[in-house]
Amino acid sequence: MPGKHFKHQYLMPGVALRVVIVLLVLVALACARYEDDPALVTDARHNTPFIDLTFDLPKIAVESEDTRPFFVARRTPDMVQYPCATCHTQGLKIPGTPADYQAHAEIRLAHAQEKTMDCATCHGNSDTNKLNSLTGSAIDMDRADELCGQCHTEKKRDWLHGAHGKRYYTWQGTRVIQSCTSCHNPHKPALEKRMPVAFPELNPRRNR
Amino acid sequence: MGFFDWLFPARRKAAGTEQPAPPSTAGGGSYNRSVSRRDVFKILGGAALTATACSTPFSSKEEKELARIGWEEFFQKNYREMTQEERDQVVQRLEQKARLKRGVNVNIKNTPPQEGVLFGYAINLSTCRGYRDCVKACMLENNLDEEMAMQYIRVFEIKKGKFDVEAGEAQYGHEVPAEGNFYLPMQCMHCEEPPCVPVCPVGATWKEEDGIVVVDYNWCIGCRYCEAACPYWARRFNWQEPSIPNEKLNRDQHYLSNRDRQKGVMEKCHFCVHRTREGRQPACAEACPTGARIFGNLLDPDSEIRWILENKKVFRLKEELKTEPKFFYFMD
Repeated sequence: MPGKHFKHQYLMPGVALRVVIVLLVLVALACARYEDDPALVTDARHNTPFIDLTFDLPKIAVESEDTRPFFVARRTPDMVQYPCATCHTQGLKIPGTPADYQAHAEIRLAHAQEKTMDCATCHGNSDTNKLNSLTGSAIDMDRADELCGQCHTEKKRDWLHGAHGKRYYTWQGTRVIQSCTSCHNPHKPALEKRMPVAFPELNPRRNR
Repeated sequence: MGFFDWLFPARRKAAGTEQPAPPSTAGGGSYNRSVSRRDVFKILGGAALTATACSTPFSSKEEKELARIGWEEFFQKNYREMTQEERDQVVQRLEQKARLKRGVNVNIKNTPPQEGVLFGYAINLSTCRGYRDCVKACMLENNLDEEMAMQYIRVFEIKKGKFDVEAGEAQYGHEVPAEGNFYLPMQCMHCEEPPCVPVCPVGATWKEEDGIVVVDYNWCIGCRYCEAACPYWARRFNWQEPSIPNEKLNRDQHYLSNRDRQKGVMEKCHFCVHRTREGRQPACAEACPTGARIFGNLLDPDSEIRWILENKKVFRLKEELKTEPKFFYFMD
């Protein structure tokens, strides 16, 4: 009966106990990690804990000389065709033939003059997942401000200090601000007109 | 047979007439003075009084409880004179009132101002495009009355070339931004020298330590002096009992902000006290899709609003009145 003997050994209570101990340790570790979760920020002055609403935003920390450290919201989680290297394995051919642009047929460049900008102004780095600076160095796709700020220096300065752009949820605590491309389409950066929210009707129930 | 004969048949016995009354020969022929008109009224009055005294005026337990709450509210102190325990009691009472009246559980806070905080607001007129998302967000956040279509924020569409708020149009309904116009949102400026506060005859409105001008809705008598005194048209009056359906009710409330108001009291923008004292942005700033609205602490030298004040050309409305608003406008 070697088989039966083996089975008996396998189901020894000691083994089960060990499994339980390992599970307990894992749970304890998970709890310990939760305790020093940065999501639970404490206001130093009042000791009133409030939930940091920005805790689950995808974001990148920015170190700046002029301002307190802050975060930029990441754009790549929302980009359908990212990562670019899925298709562009060999680098980009710029300019290419119209057939090359089929996957991006919706893009019509309406940014500055034709003589000033073309696809290669921002794209064409050897690492296709990155943006390309004016001097050919790679810029992270989530740091559009570094790319746009090459020309729009004043806007970049305003954005760094909060006079341009939008901050998420809070005025106190963690500062997470939207990236340039959260609002502006980089290929057609001017915002489009739209209808305003309808002016509320006076006495809506009485008119019925 | 007269009316009283029919009403009190016993009277005939007293009169000694066992037989049916003889047909009356004259108008008051069978009328006997043993029960006077006065007696009848006494009996009727007494019965009515007894009925009133013995019956309960409240048909249900809830109504009784609401009446008790109303009684206690009538003798409630001014919010500024209350201790923290009294404030907690008042807030609990208001929560109970909402439970009985609306059948919903609301969370009413009485968070005090944070130390070292003075709130300020800046609006970038270059990026404001008149979408009016702030107005909508404010109405939903602050449980503003639907029937009167009350709004704290007005967004004025003003022709370029002339800075005249009075010529602005607030009820525009076309695609924005329209050519040749700019947009200027206006709401309570939370002045450092608020002209609405000293005119209040009962002290129902005041400036909190964090610079927010608030109203105690239970103390306000509705005289509307403050509305007349405000140079920015920021105050609103409840001409009727404000109504907001339960499904639209924002249950995150504060005593000084968006809790249920009653008929005949003033209200106004309060920088979303229930949000801003917990570090959140006001609803209008959070809703602005272009980021034209910047909210922050004027006492924090590293804050965004301080950078704007120091580096941008800011102005305030009607500066000559020396109301010192904490609401700044700037352009890029």
